[in-house]
Amino acid sequence: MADLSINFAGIKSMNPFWLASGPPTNSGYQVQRAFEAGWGGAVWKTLGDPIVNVTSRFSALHYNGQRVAGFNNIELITDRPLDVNLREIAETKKKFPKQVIIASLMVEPVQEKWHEIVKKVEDVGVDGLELNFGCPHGMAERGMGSASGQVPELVEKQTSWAKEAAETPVIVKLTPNITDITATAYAASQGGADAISLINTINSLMGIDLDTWNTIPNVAGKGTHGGYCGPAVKPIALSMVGECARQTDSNIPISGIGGIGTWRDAAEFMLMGATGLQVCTAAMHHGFRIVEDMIDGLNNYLDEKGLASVMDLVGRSVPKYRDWGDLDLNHRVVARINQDQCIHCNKCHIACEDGAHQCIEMYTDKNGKPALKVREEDCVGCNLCSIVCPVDGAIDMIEKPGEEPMTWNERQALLNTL
Amino acid sequence: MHEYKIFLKEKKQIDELMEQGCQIVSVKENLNGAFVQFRPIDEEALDQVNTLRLLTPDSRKYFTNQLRLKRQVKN
Ligand SMILES: Cc1cc2nc3c(=O)[nH]c(=O)nc-3n(C[C@H](O)[C@H](O)[C@H](O)COP(=O)(O)O)c2cc1C
Repeated sequence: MADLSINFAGIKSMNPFWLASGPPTNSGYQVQRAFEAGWGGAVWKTLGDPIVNVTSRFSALHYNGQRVAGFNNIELITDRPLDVNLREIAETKKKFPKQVIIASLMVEPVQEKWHEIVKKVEDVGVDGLELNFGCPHGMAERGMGSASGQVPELVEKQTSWAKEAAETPVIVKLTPNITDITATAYAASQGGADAISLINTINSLMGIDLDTWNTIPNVAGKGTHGGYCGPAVKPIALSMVGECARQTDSNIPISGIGGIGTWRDAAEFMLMGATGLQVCTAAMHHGFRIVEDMIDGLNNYLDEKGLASVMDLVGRSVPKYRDWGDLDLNHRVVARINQDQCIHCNKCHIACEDGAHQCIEMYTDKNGKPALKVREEDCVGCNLCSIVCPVDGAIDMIEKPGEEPMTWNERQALLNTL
Repeated sequence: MHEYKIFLKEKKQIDELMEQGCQIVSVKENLNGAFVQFRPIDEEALDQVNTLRLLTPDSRKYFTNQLRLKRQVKN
C-alpha cells in the first residue's frame, strides 16, 4: 500500500482528497459524515456576510444517457451566520483532529474586513484559508468573487491583506473566467499566497426551455448566468492547472479542482502538477462514499507503478506539456482499420470524407464483402476516424518512422539563417 | 483530392533541383504558399535562380528537412 498522505503548502493531509467549498461542506453534520467516509479534508462552504438564495438554483446537462455530464448553479455563498458556522467548524475539528478543515472566505475588498474574518476563523482552529475570488454570479455583482478575481491587482492586494492577519497557509482560489489564468496565479503569489486552487465555476447558461422561452434554470421566469462544473469542465481545469504548473517564475503548490470524480481524474491532475485535489459535483451526484473508490483506485495505481508515495506523482507530466512550437513536425501517425474488428458502420468513412482528409476508401474485398481501408499516404493522422469509431480497437493509430524530429521553432530558426 | 500526388510532384521538383547541384538560398512563405529559391552552388551559374511555389504542407516539411540535411553534411 502506497502512502497517500500529502503535504500541501505545509498542511498535512492523510490523503489528497478534499471536498471543495460548496453544498457538501455547508454544515458540520455533512463535513463530519464526509470525514467518516474517508475524505482527507474539506473546504467549508464560503463564509462571509450571510446572503439570501433563490430557488431553483441548479441545473444539469445530461448527455446521451450520461446524467450530469455538466452541472450549473446560481447558488451564492453560505446563508448561515458566521458564528453558527464557526461553532460547527470547532466541533468538527475537535471530533476529527487529523482531517483538514479549510475556511473559504469572501468579503468586500477592504483591508479591515479581511483582517477581521481571518482572525475569527483562525480562532476556531482551521488548518488554512481559501480566498474565494472565483464565484461568477451574484457575489460578482457586489464586487466580490470573480469580479475581484479577474483583476490581478485586486487579487494581489486582497491576498496580501489576508496574509497580514493570517497565521495558517493562505490558498487563493482562482476564477477560470479570465483569458490567462497565469496572470492571476502570478498576482496571488506576488500577494504572498502559500498556494493556489483552481478552478472555480465557468460562466454558463444551461439552456432555454423551447415551450416557455424561459432560461434553465429560471426563477419565476427570469434567469441569470451560473457557474459550470462537473465532468464537462475537466479538460478546461486540467489545462489551466497545467498552465499554472509550468510557469517557471513560480512553483506555488496547486490544489486541482474541476470535474474530478474518479481516481483516474485525480491521478491526472496530480501528474499535471496538483499536490492536492478538491471535489464538489461528483460528491453531490454520488455521495461522500465515492471517496472510497478514489482511495482504493489511486492506491492500486501507485502500487502498479511501483511508487511508494502519492507525492511521487506530482508534476510528472508538466515537462511534457509544452508550447505548440515545441512539438515535432516530423512525427507521423496514420490510421489503420483492423478488418476483423470493423463492423462496417462507415462512420469513419463519413467523418473522413466530410470532416477530415478524404483518405478512407470503401471497397469490396475478395469475398465480395464491403470493407474500408485507409490510404495511408494521404492520412494526416488527425484521429477523427478513431474518435468516431464505435468499436474499441477497430481503428489503431500507427506510428510511422519519419525524419529526425524538427519543431516549428527549430524550423523557423533554420529558415532565419538563410 | 489526393494531396499526396501533389506532394510527390513537388518533391520531385525539389529533388531534381538539388540533384542538379542547387541549394536553397531563400524561403518566403505567405498566403499563397512557400516560395523557395534555389541557386546552383557552381560559381559560374550563380545567376540561374529557380523559384518553386510549394503548395502542400508535406512539401514545406520536406524542403526544411532537406535544408537541414545539407547543413549537417556541410558541417
Ligand atoms: C452548487 C455549488 C455551489 C458552490 N459554492 C461554492 C462556494 O460557496 N465557494 C467556492 O469557492 N466554490 C463554490 N463552488 C465551486 C466548487 O467549489 C468547485 O470549484 C467547482 O464546482 C468545480 O469543481 P467540480 O467540477 O468538482 O464541481 C460551488 C459549486 C457548486 C456546484
